[in-house]
Amino acid sequence: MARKLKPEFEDSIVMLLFIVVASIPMAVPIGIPVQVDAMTNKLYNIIENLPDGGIVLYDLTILNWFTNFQSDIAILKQILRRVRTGELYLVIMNEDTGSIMGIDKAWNTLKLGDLQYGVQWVWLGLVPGAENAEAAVAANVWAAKETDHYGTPLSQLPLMQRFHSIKDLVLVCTGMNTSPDPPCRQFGGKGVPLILQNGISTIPLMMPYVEAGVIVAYMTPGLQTAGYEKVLGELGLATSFADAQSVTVLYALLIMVLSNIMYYRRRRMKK
Amino acid sequence: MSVLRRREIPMALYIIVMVYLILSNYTGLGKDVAANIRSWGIAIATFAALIGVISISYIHLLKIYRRRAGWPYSIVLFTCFIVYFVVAHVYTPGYNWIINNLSIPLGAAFLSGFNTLGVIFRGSRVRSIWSLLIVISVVFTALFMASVGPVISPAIVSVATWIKDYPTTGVFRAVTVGIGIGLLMLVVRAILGMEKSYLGEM
Amino acid sequence: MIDWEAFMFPIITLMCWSILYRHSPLWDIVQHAIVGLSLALTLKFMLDFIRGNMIVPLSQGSIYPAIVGLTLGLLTWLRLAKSTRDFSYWSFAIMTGIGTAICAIGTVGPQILSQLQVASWVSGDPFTNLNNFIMWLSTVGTLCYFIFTFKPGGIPGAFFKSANALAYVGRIFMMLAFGTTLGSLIAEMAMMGITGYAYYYVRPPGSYILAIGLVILVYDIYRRRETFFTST
Repeated sequence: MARKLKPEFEDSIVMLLFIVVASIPMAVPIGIPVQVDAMTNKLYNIIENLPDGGIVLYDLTILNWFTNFQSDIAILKQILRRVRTGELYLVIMNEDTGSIMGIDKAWNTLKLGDLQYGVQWVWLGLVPGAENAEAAVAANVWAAKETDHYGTPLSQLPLMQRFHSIKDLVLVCTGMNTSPDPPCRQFGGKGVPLILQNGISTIPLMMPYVEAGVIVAYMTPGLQTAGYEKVLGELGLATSFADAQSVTVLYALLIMVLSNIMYYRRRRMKK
Repeated sequence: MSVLRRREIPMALYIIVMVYLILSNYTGLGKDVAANIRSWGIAIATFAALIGVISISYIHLLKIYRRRAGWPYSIVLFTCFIVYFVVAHVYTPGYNWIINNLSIPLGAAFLSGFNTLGVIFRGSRVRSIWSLLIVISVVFTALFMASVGPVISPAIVSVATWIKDYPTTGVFRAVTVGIGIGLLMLVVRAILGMEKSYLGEM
Repeated sequence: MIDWEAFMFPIITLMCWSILYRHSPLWDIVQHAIVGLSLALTLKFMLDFIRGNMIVPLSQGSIYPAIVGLTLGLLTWLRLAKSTRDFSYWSFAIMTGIGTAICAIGTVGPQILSQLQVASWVSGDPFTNLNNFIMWLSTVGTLCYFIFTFKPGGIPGAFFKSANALAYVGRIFMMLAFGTTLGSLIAEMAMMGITGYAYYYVRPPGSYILAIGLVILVYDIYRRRETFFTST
């Protein structure tokens, strides 16, 4: 009697091979050159050309340490360079608990301890309510939150005396991995540039807003962040994963071809 | 007391709050009250999140008490819950250790995208001209978004960029407009009293 | 100094990925551990928020709006008992009303009006004009697909026939768009943590932990080898 491998184990083999394939470039780097695309250069130039003395709001909503958060870290590095020279000021807010953990973990990488808290930067902490939180902060941040992440009243923070609503900002950045609709609705179209850090799969969803000028620039994990790290001159995890991403993409396309070959072969055998 | 239980009260609150916020935004009147109302929304969301904590705790406590299947894992859940909650308040280095070495790896491992691989393996079979169009677009886009794409051929970048910037943008523009119109229809339905999902009714 | 990260990442990853092979107690443990940790984090940060933004202002004499927020928030907890559930709907109604309003306010500009602007088909070079026309055509075609894919008879039938033609064209562009979405999902999957964990597996102690995991896996496969196949 002929024997056939069960479908769930076919899937297991495909996935386990995927892990092996992803590991090979990490052990033996291939060195595929990373190209910098136009959107990355646009994002870099937007941050570099922000007016001096401006306040930037960074809204973090998700933690996926190896992917999205590396993009957030890269953008924050560029912003913090200008914060250290006194050109910009930074306010960070979180919409979920995971992103708070990410800031804690990235503390030394971003050298947040070197900054003068309350003057150069403020960490608002968790503002629950997703889109409602964004709307509340955009309209009146003092009504949305009484204290910062450490429990200090906003009235005791010098930087917060200048930030009451979105109109006091020169840039809003949102780091997320879901539909771009909520931040575009609440932060977009209010005369303040909006940058989104979002998952690669949301690029098609972001394109209408980019075309309409609601989103001025976006950053995605993977290749674009690797290119961004190249522009910043500070290579990070995204650059070390670029080769592995290429190899795994080729593997996924190979699986697609193989599945079609197997499908037509089985169909012909049934006939 | 039964008057206070009537469904008309929450429906009226829903409509009044919604109409007030919309009018306040477009007329500029009553902005302070509108800001306070939005802060109430944040407060309600905070307590609603805690309802989730209470519900899950109750379910697992019941599981342990009645020794249902998988009850030892509920003990694991409560152990992690209590240890993490106590450590977060009394011992900061322990809190940082748990974040760096437990929470972040757990969260990231759960988000591993193996489901997509299953979709590719089982669902990407070319059976018609329509699926062929999808697969062509998939190949160009996936290669474009990896560093190997430009190395194979610069044409991949050009074609993928064109597909992303024009047809895809146009299609998702229509989807975005549809979502926007749907949201406005939701306002109309709410004002007409037809929207009752927040009361648990379909 | 022990590098706990280099130990814990591979161990936890292997426990999560055990589900790819088969259901096991390791998977159940990490599943419940992440729920427990998430609950604790949610409880901690939400209590901090309530203390800092409601209790402290109340104690300092700033009664309104903290008292209203606190009252409405506590009302939601009445949902937990059947006899008091009806009163919790007041809070949920207010929260839903706020959410609907802010979505509706925000949707008009960025989601509708901004999307209805069309770039010119006649100014600029022919290639740009053609691309702008294609973008318009794909938008209109998609809208026609979702609205007009049915066949009425009579006088509207003639009108809907042309709309259905546009819907057919829209379908072509939609296939390209969905292919772009799936392609970008593949690129995201390639990044989604897998490459991150590979980072730990290729250097000690992750490589030793992986080796131990592989030995256990091979042994289990050998033990259960007969269960992997069906007879045809």
